[in-house]
Amino acid sequence: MAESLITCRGVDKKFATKGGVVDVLHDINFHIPRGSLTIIFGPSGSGKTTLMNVISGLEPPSKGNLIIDGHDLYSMDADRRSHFRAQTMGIVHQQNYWIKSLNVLENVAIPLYLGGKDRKSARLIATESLDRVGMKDFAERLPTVLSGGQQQRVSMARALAAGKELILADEPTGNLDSKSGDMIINLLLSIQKDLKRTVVLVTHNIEYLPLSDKQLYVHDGYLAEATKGEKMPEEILNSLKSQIESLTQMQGGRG
Amino acid sequence: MRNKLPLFHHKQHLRSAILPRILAYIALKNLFAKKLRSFLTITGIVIGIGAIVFLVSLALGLRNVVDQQVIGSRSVKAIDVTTPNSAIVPLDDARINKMSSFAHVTQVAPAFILPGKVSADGSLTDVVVYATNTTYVNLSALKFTEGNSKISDKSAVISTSLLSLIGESSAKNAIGKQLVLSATISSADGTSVKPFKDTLTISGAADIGSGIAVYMSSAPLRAMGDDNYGQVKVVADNRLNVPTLRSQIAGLGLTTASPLDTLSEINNIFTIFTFVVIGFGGIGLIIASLGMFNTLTISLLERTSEIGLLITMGARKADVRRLMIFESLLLAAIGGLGGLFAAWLLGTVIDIVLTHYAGLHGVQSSIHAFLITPLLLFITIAFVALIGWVVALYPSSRAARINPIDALRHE
Ligand SMILES: Nc1ncnc2c1ncn2[C@@H]1O[C@H](COP(=O)(O)OP(=O)(O)OP(=O)(O)O)[C@@H](O)[C@H]1O
Ligand SMILES: [Mg+2]
Repeated sequence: MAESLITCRGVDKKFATKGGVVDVLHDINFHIPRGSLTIIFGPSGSGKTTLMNVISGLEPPSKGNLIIDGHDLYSMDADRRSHFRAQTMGIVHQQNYWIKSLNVLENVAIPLYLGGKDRKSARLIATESLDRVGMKDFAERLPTVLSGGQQQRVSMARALAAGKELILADEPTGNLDSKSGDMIINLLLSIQKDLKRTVVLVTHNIEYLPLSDKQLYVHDGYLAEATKGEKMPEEILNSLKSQIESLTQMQGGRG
Repeated sequence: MRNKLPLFHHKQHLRSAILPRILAYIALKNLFAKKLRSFLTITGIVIGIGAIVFLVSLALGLRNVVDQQVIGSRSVKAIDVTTPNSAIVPLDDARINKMSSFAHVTQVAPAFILPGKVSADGSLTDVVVYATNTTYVNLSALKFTEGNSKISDKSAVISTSLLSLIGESSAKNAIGKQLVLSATISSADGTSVKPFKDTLTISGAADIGSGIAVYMSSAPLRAMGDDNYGQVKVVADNRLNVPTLRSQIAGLGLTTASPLDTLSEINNIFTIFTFVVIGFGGIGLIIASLGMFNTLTISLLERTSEIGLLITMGARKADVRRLMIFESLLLAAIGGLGGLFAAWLLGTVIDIVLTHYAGLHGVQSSIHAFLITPLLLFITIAFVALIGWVVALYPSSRAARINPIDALRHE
């Protein structure tokens, strides 16, 4: 079995809010092999984004450890985790966020700048990355004037440029039609296969499940996992079906 | 095949990775994106700094003008030495030699000052006779209307006030004419009096105001064995050495005077004026600084999510703090340079206008009422940088404390 890049051990996450303590993740344990494509899925509000934030070092867990490449992330201070992110990860957030005064190319180059790259080489990598997602022609535009789908592709390009080791993508196909969505997924697959990067993907689209090496199913903050070829537990599949039904209903209602 | 991750020694100090000039670029871009607000903030600083520099340069310029009026072409390095009592402390060759031997003395020029009479065209006029040498006349900085400060035996420089009294219509006509000068020489203790009489050729005329004087060579008096001088001018190598030299001369029992005396009085007045001016300009500057603080704080609030994004992409606290400080310094630098330029421009225009009007009233020299010295320039720049930094302290430390996840939710 492949060596583990990410190991999550006994992670709990609770939020203290005005209405009381919200228990979001319960005793999460998993490992993600280096160079694999892992899909995290589950109903809305189940804690997927929270889990992704724990993995990226942005959300300290209430309990447990998160180990990446042998580094216990939360034993480092926030600055060191930032530094670690700049050196290793590219993140696609569920929403699109930009430095609004900078153009598309500069936005894609920022994580490289933050990692210490000079202007020229950062822009070169950024341009290449934009080319991969078919957004090279938009390099000089401001990101906020792009359509939602275009923004998602630029966001993807930014993560590709930054993620030397690990790419964390939280629903990167959310705003895309199925063709563009497939393009992004194929891109992630080729990144994973050709560049040997580890990809963690959150998606609602169960069509993509068979493409993954590993699936993590999050439900109400609990986690079930299955690897390629393994069958998902019956209850999970059932809840999945109802989830898909509700999704189709929602889309039908909208359209 | 695996990519090797960099090692993260937990004790090792983390230095900022992002290049400062890229941070500065991001800061600049942000200021550009908020054109109106940046413009208003910078305008505030331009007015604040501009007002201070304008007023201070006016104070410096006026002081300079007054200094020049007071000193004229007199050297500030020269000390006028007289004796309080020639009977007890005669200003004689012995004391002059003593003064010549002091350190930092470059020149010593003595003059006999005697009461005398000039007879020309049968009329007799009372004059003050300065029997001296060229150096002394030079140091006296006379305004020559004709001839020059060169003093030789048998020649004399007269004050223009004497011209009409000896029946000459102009200085030009008087040159080459002869005059008969008689004077009385008293000994140091005042007991003996010797008469002196000679015929001299007029070699020059100088405007010394209302006084009536004749400048001639001291050689004839010295030949008569006299060394009871009325005044000695002692020149120091540097104006900074003047005070020490003066106290040394005072140690000989002599009295000293220097244009620096008047100058330091004027300086005191102008120092007070400068402080008043800085006080008024300072109020403007405080308002401008508050505007800057406001801009930065709003800019921070608006960009909370952007700063959160930067952190998720690998920015550290120091990077975030620096970004805010860069923004602040940029605002301050542009505003400060703008203020300096505005003050310079305004001062120059006013000088030109004043010079023009003075010209209409017959004043030939150009007027420089404003003076921006290198020191003023330096202090202004340092001060502006300090403001930029101080103003950024609070917003930048607040920005560095932002929680990235909360900040992204902020949007
Ligand atoms: N900072 C927070 N404070 C309080 N509650 C939070 C916070 N962050 C997340 N939660 C709660 O945790 C739960 C999981 O949120 P999360 O965003 O991880 O869901 P998700 O699985 O990503 O959902 P979706 O598919 O809609 O994106 C939600 O009920 C959310 O309200
Ligand atoms: Mg989510």
